[in-house]
Amino acid sequence: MTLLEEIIGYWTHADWAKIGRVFWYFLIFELMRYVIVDYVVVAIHFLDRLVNRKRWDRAKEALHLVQPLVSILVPGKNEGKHLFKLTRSLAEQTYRNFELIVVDDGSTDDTRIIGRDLEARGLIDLFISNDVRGGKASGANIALRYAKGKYIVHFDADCSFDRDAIEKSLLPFYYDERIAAVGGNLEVRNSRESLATTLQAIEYLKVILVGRMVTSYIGIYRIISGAFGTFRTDVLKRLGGWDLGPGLDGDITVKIRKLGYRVHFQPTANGLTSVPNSFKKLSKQRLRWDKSIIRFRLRKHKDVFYPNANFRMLNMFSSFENIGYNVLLNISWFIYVVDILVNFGHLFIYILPANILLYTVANYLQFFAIMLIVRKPEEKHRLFFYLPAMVFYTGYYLRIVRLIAHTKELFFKESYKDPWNPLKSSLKAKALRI
Amino acid sequence: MKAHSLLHRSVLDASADAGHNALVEIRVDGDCFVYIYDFYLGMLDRLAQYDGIIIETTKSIFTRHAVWRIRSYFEHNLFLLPLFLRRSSRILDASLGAMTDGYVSTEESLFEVVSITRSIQENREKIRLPEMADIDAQVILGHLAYGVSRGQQTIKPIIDRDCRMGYLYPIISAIEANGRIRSSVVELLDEAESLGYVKARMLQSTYVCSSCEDAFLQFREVCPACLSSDIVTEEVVHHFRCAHVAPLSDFRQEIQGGHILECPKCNHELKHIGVDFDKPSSMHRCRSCNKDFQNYHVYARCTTCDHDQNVEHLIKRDVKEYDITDKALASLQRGLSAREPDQLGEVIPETMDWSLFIKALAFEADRPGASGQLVSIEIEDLKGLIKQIGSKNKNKLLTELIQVIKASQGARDMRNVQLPFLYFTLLDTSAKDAEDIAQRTVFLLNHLLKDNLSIKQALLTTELTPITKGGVTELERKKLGV
Ligand SMILES: [Zn+2]
Ligand SMILES: [Zn+2]
Ligand SMILES: [Zn+2]
Repeated sequence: MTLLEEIIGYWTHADWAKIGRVFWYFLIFELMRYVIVDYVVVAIHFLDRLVNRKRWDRAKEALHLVQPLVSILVPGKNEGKHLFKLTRSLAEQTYRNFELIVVDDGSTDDTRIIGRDLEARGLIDLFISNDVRGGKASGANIALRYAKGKYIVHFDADCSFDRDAIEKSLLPFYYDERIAAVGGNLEVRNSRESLATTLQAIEYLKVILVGRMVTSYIGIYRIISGAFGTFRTDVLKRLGGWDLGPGLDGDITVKIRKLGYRVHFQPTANGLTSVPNSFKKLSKQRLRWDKSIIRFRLRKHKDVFYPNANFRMLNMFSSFENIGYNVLLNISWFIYVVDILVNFGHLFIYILPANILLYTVANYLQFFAIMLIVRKPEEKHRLFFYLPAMVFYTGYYLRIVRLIAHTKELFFKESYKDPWNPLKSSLKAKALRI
Repeated sequence: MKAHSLLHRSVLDASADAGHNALVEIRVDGDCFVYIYDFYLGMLDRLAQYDGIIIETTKSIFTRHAVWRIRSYFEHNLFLLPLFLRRSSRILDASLGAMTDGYVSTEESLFEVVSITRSIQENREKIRLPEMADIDAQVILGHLAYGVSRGQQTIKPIIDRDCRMGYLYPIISAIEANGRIRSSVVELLDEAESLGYVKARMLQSTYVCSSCEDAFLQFREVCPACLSSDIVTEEVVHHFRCAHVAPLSDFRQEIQGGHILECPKCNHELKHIGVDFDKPSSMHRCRSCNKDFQNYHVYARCTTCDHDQNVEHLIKRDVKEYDITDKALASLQRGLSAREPDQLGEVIPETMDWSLFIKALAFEADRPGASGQLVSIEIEDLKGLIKQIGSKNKNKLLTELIQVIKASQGARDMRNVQLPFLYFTLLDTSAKDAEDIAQRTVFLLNHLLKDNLSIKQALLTTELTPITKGGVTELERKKLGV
């Protein structure tokens, strides 16, 4: 009897109680969250489109009638090499009434020369060059200070966009005036570059598209990516713009929510972003991201859990979901692993392959849901073959990185040491415990 | 003492003279100088016989005019004469110093004048300045001769605000100012370099108006959007603790007895630069159109033609100094023949060098049974023609003329340019046929000049001679100007 036959034999004879006991983590968290909820949301999405089509059409008419000035802010350090491509990408936008403000945050390369040149050629409306680096937030804030548009679009310099991306990201403001911020959808541009980028491409489709659509429908959408986010200028100015990073994307979203505005995810506004092309670089990026969650959810915005005047159920739920998903879920997975090893250690050889199989099947089910709403699904067929690898990517790799990040941040406040902000700001932030 | 009294007396004499054209002679140590006022308007030819000229200065505009007039006067080589200024007060004109040979102030300085004059005379004796058909060539050589006579090895540009390019080169610029040449100073010097007379050395660059190439521009900073100069500049403040960034005025709060800096975002006071905040940059704001910007444009308005332009569109000019080469010295010392002006030009394609041409003609004359004809075409008023087209285009024109001639010749025929003559052969052609061909060729050449190049005077006269030994000798004699 081979091992495979033995495994199949074992599980065909197992009863449901046993399966529930051994795969509790998968059944409670993964199956619910990724498969059932996703199909429900996809259904809601189509239903919503059908029911609210007239309202969206009216929003579109209103936008075309008003044609408000939009300020596109692109802060960054040493991003000069991307700027020309960015202006080319913007030149093809269907929405024409915008100004482009690029901030060179103390670049050490020839960004300043490139920026000045593009400004002189009229491709950049305002190029602001800071002699000393101030960090991501200050770069965005100086651009905000000089922005003249009614809406702010925050871009990363190395992103590119679908021709109708800006137009699509403005529509929600005319659809629902309580919306003050709109997140665009980001896909991976360099997905063919390496295994790491391919897996990230799948992850982005899963998490950003479906994950954000879900949270947006429930009303707990929490992070507008800085790579592509659109905001009402008046609201941003009321908030004083972005606060000291890292994690300022999530931070600004929470602040907008606290003012009582809605934050919307617009899956049809599409941008492409480049992701780290090796697991080493990816790990560094994720460590930084995951640390910021602790810092901002648990430290800076812990007031969302307090029953005070500003208390809003959804905000608390949003933060809770965020923390839950990122921290508690991660911890409970490790509890699950320990549970299995301790109680069913002798069955490990049967449980592991079955787990992998279950996750793979769930991944495929979820991917079919994604294919129903994603744009240009035919281009994504290639990713099908990599889905089994996702079990290891999200199931093990990302979890371990996350655990390391959370531990470091919770116990050592490591994010203050990150080169994310210049030293002067980090010192200040640490001293003020923000 | 003698010199002093001479100078003194002559000044009185000159003042006593009511007219502006008084000439006073001053003899010092056997040299005879002519003393004039800077408003002298008389004939310049009258000055040429003296050993040097002393100019009494009254107003710098007059002085300049007088000096420029003399330095651009080529008749009798007047421009080479030693020239001194008698200054009563300090003259604020750098170029006057470069265009003259010294100042006369005290009695002792008259002896210095004499010694400078002697030294110039000594240098001049080594030079034989030829008379040229080509005015540009004449100017170049004249300029070089001036430098050599002053013992200079380098022709240096002098900063000058009355010169179009902002710099002058003593003789050439004076002539340009008088409008006697078609080519610009720079073109002439470039030509001198291409002829190997000077070797240019880059000194610095300057910018000139893109419309009229004048160097006198007024610069100002303007708003990139509306070109207004009404711009205010403000420092930008970055508050570390809240990442707020805004112009300084946003933070300024007036309080009793002064002001503080308070963050409009987080309401904290900004106390210590470097600790609480810094100033990463500054911004400009146009008060005319409200545009914010960091990089203002710089515009230059031309004070000559009023053209207003972005400085990026100004024309960049190299200002060079020129070393006089050995070749130039040799040419000046030899004294080029007046009949050899195109030594200055490059070789015209499809033509033969003179000595080779003569040899070939002699060979042809010796050939038994040969019956060739030599056609010589003289360009009438060559000076006028070159004046019209500019000396730079001379070779281009000659090349075109030669092409027309070549088209009417046989395969073995030869051509030579010996301005104002164009020579060509019609070998194995009877005198009768040659006559026809020559007439037709002249018709075509005239047609080319008049109709295609719209050159006004287009007079060519021809002469036909059979190629014989005697004819060739005659030709050589003619060339040597015997
Ligand atoms: Zn001009
Ligand atoms: Zn303006
Ligand atoms: Zn502040």
